This record gives sequence, structure tokens and C-alpha cells, in this order.
Amino acid sequence: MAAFGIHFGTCSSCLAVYKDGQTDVIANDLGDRVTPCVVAFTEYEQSVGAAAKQGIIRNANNSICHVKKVIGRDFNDALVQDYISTWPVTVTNKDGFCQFDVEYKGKPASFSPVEIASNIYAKMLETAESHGGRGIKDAVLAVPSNFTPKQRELISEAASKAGFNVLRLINEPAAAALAYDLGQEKHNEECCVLVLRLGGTSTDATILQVNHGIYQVISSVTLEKYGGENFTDVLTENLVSEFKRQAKCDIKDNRRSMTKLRLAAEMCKHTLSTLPNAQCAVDSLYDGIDFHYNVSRGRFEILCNNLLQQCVQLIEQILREAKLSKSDINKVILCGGGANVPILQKSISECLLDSVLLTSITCDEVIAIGAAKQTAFLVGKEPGDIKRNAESNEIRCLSHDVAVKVENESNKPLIVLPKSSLIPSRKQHSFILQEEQTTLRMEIYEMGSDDQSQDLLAKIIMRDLPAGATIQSSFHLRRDGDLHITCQETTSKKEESVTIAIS
Amino acid sequence: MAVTAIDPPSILPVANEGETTMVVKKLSEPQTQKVEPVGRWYEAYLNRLYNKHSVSHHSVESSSSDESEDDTEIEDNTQFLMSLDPKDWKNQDHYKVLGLAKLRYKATEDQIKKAYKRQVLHHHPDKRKARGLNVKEGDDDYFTCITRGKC
Repeated sequence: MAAFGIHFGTCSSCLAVYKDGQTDVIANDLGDRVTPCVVAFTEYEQSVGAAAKQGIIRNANNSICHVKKVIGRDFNDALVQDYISTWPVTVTNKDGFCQFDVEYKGKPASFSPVEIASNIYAKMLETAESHGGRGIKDAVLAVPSNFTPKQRELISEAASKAGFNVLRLINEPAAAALAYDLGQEKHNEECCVLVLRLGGTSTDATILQVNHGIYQVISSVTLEKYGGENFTDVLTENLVSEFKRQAKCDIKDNRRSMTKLRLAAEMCKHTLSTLPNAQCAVDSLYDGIDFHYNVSRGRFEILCNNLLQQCVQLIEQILREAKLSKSDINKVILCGGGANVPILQKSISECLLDSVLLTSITCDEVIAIGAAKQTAFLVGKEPGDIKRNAESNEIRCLSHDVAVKVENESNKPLIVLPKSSLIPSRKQHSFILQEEQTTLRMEIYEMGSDDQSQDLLAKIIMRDLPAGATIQSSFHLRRDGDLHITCQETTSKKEESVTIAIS
Repeated sequence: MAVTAIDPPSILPVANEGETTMVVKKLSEPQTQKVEPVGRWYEAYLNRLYNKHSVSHHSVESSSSDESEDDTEIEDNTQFLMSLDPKDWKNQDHYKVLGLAKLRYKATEDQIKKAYKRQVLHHHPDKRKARGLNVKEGDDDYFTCITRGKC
């Protein structure tokens, strides 16, 4: 039994495993930690991944990329039509949904987006099997938070078809937060996290509130048609004009040359994420002319300036929508391949100076690792429990702080159960008595929404206590919402309790 | 929203004359929040919510089950076990093997678990070897009957 987490992206996908308390990404048969989501059909075979991506140069009409964009979406959807118009592959309308028409083994063939996605998942399963042998492959899939139930169902269907036992679908931002164990170690850790996902073709920003180890989405913004591929496009354009200058040839209308140059530009971009210089070399790019050019990181950064601005604007937009200021964000998580660009990370950390930028996990792998961690929590549980827990994504919690009046200089009540404490939950506190104090009065208040008002809920009185005693008290929010409070004197075991009902 | 640290312990005020423990008001209505179904605490929360024993009931239940466990006497059946043929485990009386012949179907899951543990501890080949008894090799030993009995 092995637990896997899968992030199926628009451009590439990633598979992570949880084993012996550790999560790790599994490299595919080529040794790459991410697999391009490209499925190609040729005269002889069907290929998935890097091989298919390389083949695009010759076989663009039968290569399917970006399948995630159309899965479960209406054929007549404006966004779908927009994407289809830029693809070399033929897409037709079948019962209102998309269908890919390709030539496979010399004959025309049609595939639905689910079948294509399933092919990619099958590739993942192959990778999973190479790692852990045969057996049941439990998996949690990460999907964008704006996926509709229909899209979720289809993605899950594609993965099950490929042979994975899908335990749950979780949202990508939550998976990213889980990858960094936010709120998981310490139960009472509270923070506000901005998850910025720069995918291949779309970007989204999500603000998550982590409270009692539970994640809540405060606000979410998606920016379509902005992602890593735009960076590649910008670089490609620059290379095209450079080639024009060198060879006096315009290759803009030559699809094959453009594809070649684009792949080279993408390689350059990846290199520039780690090195200050990258060589772009394409043999016989056009009409037998070779192309060679040296791109420096500085040059690339100047080209991307406009895109960087958009990213900063996205952050400002989400903060406005969530009605938060920059200093409210404690942590920023970057995920998605596009976030690897160093200048982007720099401009984000400059934009959010007070927050910690989490980048210890490689950006492309964050979501898959988070999904694998979630699988680990679910493996071995009853299937019924898993399903029910996924559906009931609502929690009940206190609407106000509950506090106890204590004697100190500021006379500020001590908050024992803060607002949004889960029902049920339990807290324990110890109190002390002053020397020569033999009685006590514990007044339990509910704090109003403003700091001023407070309502007395109940009081506990204890008498004849030994002087300087210690009082152990437990505050227990029961499943039905009632608050049960017990005070016990530690030496004499004298007890007093009270139950406050909920309205 | 700040949670005040409880370290050092806070001091409670003194009670006035004639005051008694009392409830004045109800807690205001709880709020419902939509959350992401991920993470350890989310799972733990739902388990608490749905499982039979919540935190408060737990202590009560465990003490009562302690008593019942003490009541269960597990019969010593070494002679019976020795007479069994491990190859014929499909036809064996699993309750008798585990020493629960009297309870039969009334045995709770806990009791079966406990009985199995006891039998294993007592009859494990390694333990018997240590005691100087002779043990048959592999599946021929009657210990197999016990492990089958559990399933």
C-alpha cells in the first residue's frame, strides 16, 4: 500500500509519494520530476510526456496539450473557444463537450478530454509502479479551487480509469499550505497565508486563514491567460526579432520554426531560473540557417517587466477583495512552475515585505507533496469515512470569545476559548489562589464583537479551599454545543461544575 | 485575535458572601464556516464529531469497559490446543481456541482482541522455546490455530 499525491497541471504534472513519514517526488522514466502533460498520436504509437512534447515539432496536429483547460467545460464556452482557436489539433463538438480528432496509426480517431487525461494518469501510474511495485495505489488529486463539481467528477474518473484509487480531491491552495505543514504541528498556530500559483497558462492567488489547524479560504482570484507560458512567449518574440536581425528572415508564419524556437526559448527560461546566462541554439531553424544567441538573465528580466507588474497587481487586487493590508499576510507560498523565475520571487517579496516567502520546496512540486501528505492522513480509514469527511466541509464553531475574569493589573479577562473554537473541543487551564484565599469566584463571560461589551454566562463558586491552592479547570465544548466547565482543587479533589447551554 | 498566554497561572478573585454557582445566560448561537477538507486536524475534528465516544464520554466508557474486561475469564485450554491439527483450521472452533468458549458470539470485539493477545503471549513458539517446551517447525505447530482463530 502506498500513498500518492498527484498534481495534474495544464502544462505539466507531478507525482509525490508518502512513505515512512516522508514525502518525496518520484522522477519519471526519464529522471524528470515533472512530466509534461502532452499526449501525442503517431503512425506507430501513442506517447505521453517529454517524448510527446519533443514530437510537437513534427506532429503538432496530433499532439494534445493543455487538456485540463477543456475537461468538463462546455464546447461553446468563450474560454474554451479561445484556447481551441490557438491549438493546431482539431477539436470538435460532441454532445456539447470537446472532442479531439487526431490521426492514430494511419486512421482517424477521436478522444474525449477524459480519455486524454486518463492517458496522462496512466503514465503517472507507470511511474508510481516503478517506485513501489504493484498493489493498490491510493491517491489524492489536487484540483484548482474554481473547478466545478462536473470537472472534479471527470478528473476523478480519469484517474480511476488509469488505475488509481482516488481517495479525495483537494484544492490546490490548500494542498500547497499542507505541503509546508502550516498549522499541522502546533494545533493553535494561527496565520494568514497567500498562496500564489503561477501555472503554465493561468495564475491564481488565494488567501487562506489557518486557524486551529483548519484551512479556510478568505478570498480567491484567478487570472486566466497569465502564466509561465507568457514568459516563454515574450522570450520567443525577442528571439524571433533577433533571428530576423541575424539572418534577415521572418519566421513568424512558419509554424514548425516557431515551435522549434519556442521549445528552445523554454529551455532558456528554465536555465535562467538557476544560471545568469543561457545559450539558445537551434540548428537549421529556418531554411538551413542555424541560430545561436546568448540570453542573459538581466535581458530576460527587462523583457518580463510587464508580466511582473501584472503579478504585483494581482496581489494588490486580492488584498483589496479580502479587505486586508499587506502586513496581515504572514506567509506567502509560491507554487507552479512559473514561480521559479527569480525576479518574480524578488518582486513578490519586495511587494510583501512583512511576510515570509516559503520556497524551500521546489515550486512545481509543492502541490503534489501537499496532496501526498493528505493521502497519508486518509490511508487506512474506512472508505465511508473518507467520503463523508470530504463532503461535510463545514464546521461549527463559537461565534464569540469566551473568557474568565481574573485578577491582574489590567483587569483584562482571560480568553479561554477564542472565537471560532471548534465544536466539539476541549481546553484545560490551571488557576491559582492567593495566599490565605479560601474561596473563589470564576465568572465566565462571552465577549461581544467589540472589545467593550461582555455578557456574564455563569459563575462558579467554591468555598473552604486550602490556602494557596491550585485549581485545574477544564472547558469542554460538547458535540451538541453545550459548554461544560469543571473546576477541581488539586490536593483535596474538591469539584464544582457547571453546564452552559447553547442557543 | 490574540490568545493570552496562561503562563504563569492566573489568579481567580475571592467569592462574595452568599454567592452560589449558577448559570445566567446561554451561549450565543454557533457559526458555521466553510473549510478546506485537508489536514490532520480536520480529520481529527470530524472523527471526534462522528465517532461514538467524544472526549467527555471517553473517560466514562473506558472505565466501564475496564470492569467488563476484568470479568471475562479466559479459559486455559493448552490441552485442547495441543490436540488440534493445524491443517484442519477451517473446521476448528475459533472461540474455543481463543478461550472464549463460554461467551461465544456474545464476546465483544475488545474481549476477542484481549483473548487473542493473551493466547499469543502465552503460546507463541518463541515463548515456549524459552520455557524449554518442544515446538514443531513451521505451520505444523498449533500456534497457527490461534492466528487463524483471530481472523
